Amino acid sequence: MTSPLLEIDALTKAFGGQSVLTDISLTVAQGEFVALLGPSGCGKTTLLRCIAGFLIPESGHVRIAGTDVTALAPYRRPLNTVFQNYALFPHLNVTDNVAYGPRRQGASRTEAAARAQDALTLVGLADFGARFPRELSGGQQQRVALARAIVNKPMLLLLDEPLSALDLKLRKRVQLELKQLQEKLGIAFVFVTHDQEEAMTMADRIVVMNGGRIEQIGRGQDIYRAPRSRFVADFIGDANMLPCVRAADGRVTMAVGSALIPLGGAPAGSDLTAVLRPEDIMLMRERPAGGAAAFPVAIEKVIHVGSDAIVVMRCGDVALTCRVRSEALDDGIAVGAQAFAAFDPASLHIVAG
Amino acid sequence: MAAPYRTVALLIGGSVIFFAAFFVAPMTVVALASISSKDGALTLAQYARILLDQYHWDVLWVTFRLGALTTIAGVLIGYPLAWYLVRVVRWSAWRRVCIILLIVPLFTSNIVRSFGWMVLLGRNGLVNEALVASGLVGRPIRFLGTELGILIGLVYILLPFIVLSVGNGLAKIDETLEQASADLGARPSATFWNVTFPLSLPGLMAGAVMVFMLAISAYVTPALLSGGRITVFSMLIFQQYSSVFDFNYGGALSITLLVLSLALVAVASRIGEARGG
Repeated sequence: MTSPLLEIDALTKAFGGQSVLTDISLTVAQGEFVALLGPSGCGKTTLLRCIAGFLIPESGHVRIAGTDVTALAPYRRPLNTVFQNYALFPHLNVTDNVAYGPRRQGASRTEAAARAQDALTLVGLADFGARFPRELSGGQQQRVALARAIVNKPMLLLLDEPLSALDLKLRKRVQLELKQLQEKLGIAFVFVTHDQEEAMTMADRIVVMNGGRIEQIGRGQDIYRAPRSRFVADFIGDANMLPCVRAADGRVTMAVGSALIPLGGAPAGSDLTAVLRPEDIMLMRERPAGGAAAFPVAIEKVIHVGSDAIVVMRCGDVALTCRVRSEALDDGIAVGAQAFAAFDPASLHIVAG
Repeated sequence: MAAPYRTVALLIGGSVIFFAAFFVAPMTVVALASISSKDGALTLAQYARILLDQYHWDVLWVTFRLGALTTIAGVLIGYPLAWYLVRVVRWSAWRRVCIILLIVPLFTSNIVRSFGWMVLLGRNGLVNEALVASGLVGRPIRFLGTELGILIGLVYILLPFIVLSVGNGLAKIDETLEQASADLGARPSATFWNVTFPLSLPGLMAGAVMVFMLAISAYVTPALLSGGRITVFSMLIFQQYSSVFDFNYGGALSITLLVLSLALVAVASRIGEARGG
């Protein structure tokens, strides 16, 4: 097996004695799309800056294609970055901005301009070469920043929340375009975002970070289905957090209202939480017969979102939400009504905390 | 609607009156005097007297040469100093001390500071004593009464303007632009010449223009350090107004200096605009 493209090994970083990254280890394969996902202040941008070389970690190593680059200056690293504010050079026109990298690598003026033109064509801005950055919209600036990075044909591209300045509709479109471009070029992307939907849409693997540590690494669906911690379950998608108790005999019971539901396959520890995704709940007017688990709930709110309805309900002191297709909603399910929230116990996932 | 309109009129009116009383009026008086003869008739004789006389051109040449050299020396010394203050100093208390050291001399009179340089640059002054003692020169260099002496004085007095202007420009540059440059493979020197320097040009040009204008119109420093051996244009003007009392000729000299320096500044700022984007 060949060595991974990017290898981060036990990296730590502190600012003024305050630890920002703790024991980060991560590998990124050739051509892989990895998202660093977490709330603001979780250290994801700091990690990106350590990879780019703008920050030197206190300990640990960064290797690119097997070469240790931990202490290497940014301009010597075989990677490029798309900055959050794009950082386009305001005194250069679009062509000169994109040609900047090739020029620094020793390409002639004409060759650099030709390569810049190719890259601009790739991002759909072939006719914008003579414009200045301030004359472009946010979306166009974002494309120029992308062209300026990929024109250098890096093995690794770092993107620091590049879509956060775009409006929702444009962001959705650019997400798909970016993913297609990444697959076409075969460049590995490390993409920083705080938007879990964005990470889910684009990334092959997601690295969930919190408080300077990696909480979980995995494919989006795997993390969604099997979050390793309460934080991950809460951060990735919507989740109902249901308290569990461990009985003296070691068996775990979910205590929602007066309903006690026996569970298997729980992790060690006494504080446990069952994660139940809103779409895994079915609402019924009668208690279901047979194997399905259910507890009685009072409907508090029904919110229609497009074709779906989000139902907010309460069982004892636990608030729950469920998401169903609007047309599947029973007439009797209305605010103030009593109903049963039924679910397949297999769809539960139990985490510590 | 009416109330804010009146407030605006009041606010603008104040500055318009101030500007008219203390700038437009004196300038008009000087300009009118320059195109009048002693008995009040309109004439361009004063200008003919200036422009057709080689002596005036010689003095203008000295004046503008000193102005240009002051600006160049000021930029060469001031830019690195501004860089040091903005980019190298990490400790904000020390930066504040540096800026105070830079600004405090501005609170002292020009005359006092120029006299200071007379003492320092004299035959037995500190500078010559140090040069001789260190063996760099065999015998004292004559500074007073030379253009070099005036240049030293002007650069010293006008340096803060360059440093503050460039420093302000450098501080405004978004540091992610320099990071982007490094990220694209530019060595630190390439980043400086391709990104930092072009982006600092507006501040540099503003400082340079200011220093050039102040240098060519400076009177006290050249007058004290020239030792009577060198004449700059402002000294000619001063003579006409204070000793000869020829306000017409003096006015024409003033307008000549003003027009020529404005023309030069206009050319310089056009160049700055074209380069700065």
